[in-house]
Amino acid sequence: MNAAESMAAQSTSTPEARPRSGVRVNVQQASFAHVTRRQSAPVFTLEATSFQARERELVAILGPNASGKSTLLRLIAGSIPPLSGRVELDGFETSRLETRTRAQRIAMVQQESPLVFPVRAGDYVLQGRHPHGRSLWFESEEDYAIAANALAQVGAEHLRDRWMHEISGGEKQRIVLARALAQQPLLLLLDEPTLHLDIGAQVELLARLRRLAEENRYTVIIVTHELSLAAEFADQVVLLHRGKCLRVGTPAEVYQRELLEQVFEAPLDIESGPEGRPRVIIQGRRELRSNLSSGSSSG
Amino acid sequence: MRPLTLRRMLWTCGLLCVTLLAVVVLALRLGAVPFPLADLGQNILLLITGHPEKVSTDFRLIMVDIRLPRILLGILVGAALSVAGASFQALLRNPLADPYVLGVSSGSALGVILALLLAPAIPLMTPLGAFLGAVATIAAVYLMGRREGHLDSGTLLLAGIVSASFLSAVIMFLMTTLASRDLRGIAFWLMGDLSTTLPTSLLWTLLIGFILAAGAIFTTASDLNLLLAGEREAMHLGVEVTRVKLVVYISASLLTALAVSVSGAIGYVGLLVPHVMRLLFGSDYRLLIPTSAIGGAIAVVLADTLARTIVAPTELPVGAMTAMVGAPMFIYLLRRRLA
Amino acid sequence: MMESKLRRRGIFFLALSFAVFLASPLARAARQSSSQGTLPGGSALREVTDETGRKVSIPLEIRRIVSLAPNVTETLFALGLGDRVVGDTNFCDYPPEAKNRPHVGGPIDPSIEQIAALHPDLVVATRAINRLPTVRSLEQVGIPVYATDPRSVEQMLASTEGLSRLLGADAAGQALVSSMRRRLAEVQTRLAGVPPTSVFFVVWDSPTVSTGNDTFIADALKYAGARSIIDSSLDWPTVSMEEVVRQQPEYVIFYSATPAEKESEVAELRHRRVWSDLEALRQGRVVVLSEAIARPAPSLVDAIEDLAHTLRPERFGARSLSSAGGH
Repeated sequence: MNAAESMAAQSTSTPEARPRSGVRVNVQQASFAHVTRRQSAPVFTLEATSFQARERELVAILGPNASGKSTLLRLIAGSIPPLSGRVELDGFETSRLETRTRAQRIAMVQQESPLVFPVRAGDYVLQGRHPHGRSLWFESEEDYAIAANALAQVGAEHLRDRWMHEISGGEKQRIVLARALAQQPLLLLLDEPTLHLDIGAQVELLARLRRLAEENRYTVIIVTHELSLAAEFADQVVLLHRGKCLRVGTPAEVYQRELLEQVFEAPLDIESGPEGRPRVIIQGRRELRSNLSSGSSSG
Repeated sequence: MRPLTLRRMLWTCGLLCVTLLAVVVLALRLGAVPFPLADLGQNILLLITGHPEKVSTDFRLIMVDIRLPRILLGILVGAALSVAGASFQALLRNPLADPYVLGVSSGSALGVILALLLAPAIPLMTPLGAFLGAVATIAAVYLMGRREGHLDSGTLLLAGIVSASFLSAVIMFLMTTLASRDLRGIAFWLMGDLSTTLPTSLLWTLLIGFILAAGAIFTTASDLNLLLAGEREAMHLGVEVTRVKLVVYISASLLTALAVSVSGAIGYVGLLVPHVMRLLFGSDYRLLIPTSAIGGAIAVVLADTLARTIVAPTELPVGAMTAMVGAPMFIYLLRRRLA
Repeated sequence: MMESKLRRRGIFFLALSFAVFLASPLARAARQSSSQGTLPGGSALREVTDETGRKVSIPLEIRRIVSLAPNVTETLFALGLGDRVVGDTNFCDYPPEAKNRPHVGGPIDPSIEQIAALHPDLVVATRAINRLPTVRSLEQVGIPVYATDPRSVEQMLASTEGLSRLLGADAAGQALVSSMRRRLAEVQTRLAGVPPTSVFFVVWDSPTVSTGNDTFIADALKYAGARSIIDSSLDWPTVSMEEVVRQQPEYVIFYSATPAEKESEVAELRHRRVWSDLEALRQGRVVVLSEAIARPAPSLVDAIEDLAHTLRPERFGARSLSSAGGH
């Protein structure tokens, strides 16, 4: 059963506040290691990890630097095969898919390589239609419409004729997202999308992603180390620490103070916010207890 | 942002072809031996309508035997070098790349020298030696430029530059220490020279080689557009990066080898023509490949016509003309980008 | 999907047919012209072997000749065949009549078209100056090329005689060559018993290039009673001035198309580093010859005589230097 058919089947189900559709992304005990020639034992970048994601869900892969987040994302994207376990999208192993087929279903948004030649934003977004075309092919009217729609969805129609090297970082980020949307994928992956954005832009992006997940029935998976954003916007959080998956669950389930303090090595406090979502408070002036097993904090 | 359609592509190429035709007529008209336009027209008409025996001997000798093959050679060489240059600029993700950046011309030159040393009497030894030298260099640089089993642009560029320098040093050494007087011609060849009349069979080989190699590159044109935005991004957009890079590397190197083996290392064409075409018609490789080909043909035929008329009857090597015009043009383009 | 496939095929066939369309009438023309041959007059041919060992088919009657080197031009005129020379290079300036002939360009980069337009029966080239690709290009359009390759004085004489026989000027050739032999023998006689003068022959001063052992210049020096201090198997080696100074040659020899101007250049060289350590230069033991010394042609004998006179005036009586220096 291909992606289109599964999507069609799901659309006829009874609508609920959050329809519990079938599992789209299935990560089962997936691990990865870099094999270097010099060492006999491989260095595990990611140990066996499992979680599942459905359509219209926004999952945050959370952790500090070098925790294996990007590796997990690449496993999901299918760019690298798992050393053990499986990573499946609608039942198909992502790393076994043909590059073109994969690009029709999975869109990746990551730190962009510098552009060699000037290109207009509109043409850049149009590149997202490439997986759906053939070689020696010219874009059709439909392709142009889809690209225009993608630009509209990120609120960047006015940037269509501007050169990519002339627009701001935040605007560029939106164009890159538009290109991913133009791919009309099932799965939208983003690697640290908020890195160079100010807080307003960060919130705007996450809100947009949430909305897009709802409207276009995407599964959105983002890699981030932004605790507050993940807490506020994610449906599911996968917490990684030094290559190990420590916990998977809703933000409320994952955000435990001792756990987060250990992972992020910063003094924190967790409060409960509206809709049951946790609020993270940084306790800068308090010393971080080196011995965390001792229990409660002092004033 | 104007959409690229088949119609626009055909119009643009058609326009350029008409320009090429005009340049060809100009090139036929001009030369050390003057030829009135009326005579030219009359004789061409006779040829096309199938009356070759009525054509004047002088016309046949000068136009058909000497000038026309030279012009055709210029067209092929110019087209090959420009397509190769545009391809390398995409492959190496570097706007300064030209067909010789990977050492193909130095390898060719060495091949020519060895051929002249070992078997100067065999006809066509020079193009053959040049071609073999080029192929050997392509293979060597490929092996050096690999990283974890696939072509890495940065490593490839370095390997190419190093090879080019090394081979140039070897060539310098040979030229200085060897007594052979046949080597004097190599200085001319190194500059790029279209004056050697070649047998028609060689021209046909060139044409077929060009169609195959340039055709192969053209089929990857939309992939190249994406490759320029970044290799990882291209992969996530469905481009078979490894395969595309290999096809482009081999085809572009082959085009360079073909051009260099018959005309020496004509400079600046492969570097500048793609840039000019980008300025005029945009960076989409589906249009850039054919426009570069025709643009390169125009450039070389013009340069060669200048080279053989500017100080007639002495002939300058065409590479000297392309350098004289190309260098200032390059500086202008550079400033424009920085402005 | 169907549409784009159709488009793809369409483009491909369009391109292919365009290429074929362009190529066919030209191919037809090319085939026609090469089969008919472009040798004008269609005169009978004979096969000869030129001095580089190439087999060339040339017409029996050679009335129009194009020369591609100054020494060839000079030889042809000296053989009395000047009126058969219908074209030569920009550099052919001796004898003065040669300057009036239509020029076909330089020896290294002549215009094939121009040569063809002169309808020569034969083109004469020389290996030392002309390029093999030029020769091949001419043959490709049906113009035969005969190449000379004189590498010594004796070979120059033989080459002159060979050319005279080739072109049906046997009598003139024999007369010229025997006269040259007589003059050379005369010089030898006068120099009998005299040890050779050590000389440094300057082909170019920066970089410093001299002659090797195997060139006609080295040979000519020997005939003139001189010995080049440079021992090299290369034809025109770049030499180290320190080595030259170490050997302290008795004379330094220059040559130039305009000997008078060269004198002032030589005066400047006296002050250049390392050159200033040459005794010969300091004491004015310098000879400036005409370009004849650099051309393997009949006037080489004049240059040999001039040099011999200058180096050993006591052996040659009252004969003055200026009598032969007419270039």
